[in-house]
Amino acid sequence: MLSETEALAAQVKLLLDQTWSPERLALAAPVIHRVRRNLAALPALGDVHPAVAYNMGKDAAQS
Amino acid sequence: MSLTELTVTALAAALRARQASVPEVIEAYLARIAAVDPPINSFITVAADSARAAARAAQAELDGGHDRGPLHGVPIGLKDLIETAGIRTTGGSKILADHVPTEDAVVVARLKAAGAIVIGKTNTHEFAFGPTTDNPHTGRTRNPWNLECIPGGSSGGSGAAVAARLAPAALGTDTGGSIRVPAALCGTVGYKPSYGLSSRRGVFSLAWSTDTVGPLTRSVADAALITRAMAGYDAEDPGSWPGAHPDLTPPRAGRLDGVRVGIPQPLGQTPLHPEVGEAIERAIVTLQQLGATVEDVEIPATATAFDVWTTIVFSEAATYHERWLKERPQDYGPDVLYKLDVGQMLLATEYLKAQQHRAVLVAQCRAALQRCTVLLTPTTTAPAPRFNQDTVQTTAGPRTTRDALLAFPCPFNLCGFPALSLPCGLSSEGLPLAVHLVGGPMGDDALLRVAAALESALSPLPAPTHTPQT
Repeated sequence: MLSETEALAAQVKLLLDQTWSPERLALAAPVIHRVRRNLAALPALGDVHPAVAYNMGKDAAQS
Repeated sequence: MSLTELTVTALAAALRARQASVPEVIEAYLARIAAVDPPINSFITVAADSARAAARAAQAELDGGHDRGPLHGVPIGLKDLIETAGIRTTGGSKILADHVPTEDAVVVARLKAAGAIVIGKTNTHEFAFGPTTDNPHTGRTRNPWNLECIPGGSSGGSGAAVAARLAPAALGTDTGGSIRVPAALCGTVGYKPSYGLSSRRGVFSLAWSTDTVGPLTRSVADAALITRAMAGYDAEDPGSWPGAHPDLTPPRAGRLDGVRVGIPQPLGQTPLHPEVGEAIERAIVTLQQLGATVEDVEIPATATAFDVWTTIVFSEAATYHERWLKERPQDYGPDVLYKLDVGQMLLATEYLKAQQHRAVLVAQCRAALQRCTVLLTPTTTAPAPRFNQDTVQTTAGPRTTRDALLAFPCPFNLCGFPALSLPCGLSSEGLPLAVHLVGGPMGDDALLRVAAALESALSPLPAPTHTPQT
C-alpha cells in the first residue's frame, strides 16, 4: 500500500509533468492532506444535489 | 475643513455647497498619498493625470448644472484586480505586471457614469489569493494603525487606503472575506453585497462561485451609496442576479425594535482573542439597547464550512489559472503557487462532495435567516497580526492566522448572502476590532439598516495613529 505522501506524489507526477518538483509537493502536501482527511470525515450525502457554481445568487434568493 | 477627513456623503455635500471644487479634492488626495502612502504602500498605481483630467471635467459639469448624483466628483480607489481602460491592472502579479486593459470593468464604468473619479489602483494579495497582502511582486501593504501589522487581505490596499484617508472609498473583491477582513483589521466598513448584485465582468476571478465586488468605506451610508451606483444585472456575468434588487438607499439609523439577531452555533463558540470577545459582547448589548433581541441559532454546517470553502475555492482558482500554471509557474509567489497546486490535486469527487455540503449549509443558513433578521459574529478571531505571525492567541490557545482571519467570513461566501464588517472599538494595543453582520437572501436592505443603527450607537474610530495629518 502506498503511503499518503507516495499516493499524492504519484498524482502530482501525472498532473504536473515536467513542472513538478519536490519543493512544490512539500509546500502543498500538508494542506492537501488536511483538507482531504477532513473532507473524508464528512458524511456521504448520497442524493443531495450539489450547489451549482453559477447559481449561488439565484439559489440564495429563492427561499 | 480637511477634505480628506470627509466621508463620501459629506464630500458630496461640500461639493454641492461650493465649499470645495472637484480639482481641489483630487489635489488634496494626491498630496496626501504622496506624503503618507510610501511606508503604507496601499497603492500600486496612482492615476494622477487621468484623475486630474476627470476632475476638471466633473467640475465643468457641475458648473454647467449637470449633477450626476452623490458620487459626482468623488475619488475612489480600485483594487488592482479590477480592470481599468488605459490604467495598468496587474492583479498584484508578475504575470500581469504590464497588462493595460482597453476597457473598464462593468463596475468601474458604472461608477464613472455616476461621477466617481478613479484615483488609483490599490494593492492586493497576489491574484487575491490570500489574507495578508504581503505581496512578493508589489511589496507588502502595511496597516496604518501599526506598520508592523498586516492590513488583512486580499483587498489590503483598499482597506489601508481608506483607513489612512488616502481615498474616501475603495472597491475590493470578496471570495472568502477579502473585503471584510481588511476592513476589520484597518478599521473601515467593508460590505460584501449579495452574490450576483455587482457584475464581475472585467474583474480577475479567484473563484467564480463566490467572487463578489463591494466597497470599503468609512460609513455604512457610503457603502450603500457606492453599491447602489455599481449594482445591476449584467447578462454577460453568468452569476448576475436577474431578479428584483434590494433597496440600497443609504439607511437612516434608528431603533431596532422587532429585529432578531442570531448568533450562529457552533460558529459562535469559536475561541477568540479576549479583547475581540469583549468587543462583541459590547456590540450585542448595544443592539439590545436599540431594541433588538439576540438569540442563538443552530447552523451545524458552519463547523465544516472552512474545509468545504477551501476545496471549492482552491479547485476553482486552479482551473482559472490552468494556462499560467503550465506556462509560468515560476512567476507565482510561493504562497500562491502552493495553494494553486492544492487546487490541482483535489479530485472532482472531492469538489462535488464539497458542493453537496455547501448545499446543506445554504439550506441551514436560509432557515436561520427566516427566523432572524441578521446573524452576528466577530469578523476575525483576533486583531491584526504582525507580518509572518503564524498563529494568534485565543482564550483556548493559539490558532493559525489563516483560520483566525477566514473562519467567520468564508461560510457566508458559500451562501452568497450579504455580509458587512463594522468597526466596534480599539484593542489595548490600538488596533481595530470589528463585528460581522450577515443578512438573509438578497436581504441587503435589512442588513444595511441594522448596520447603520449599530454604527450610530458605537463610538467612531479616530484616524489611525500612523497617518500624519496633511
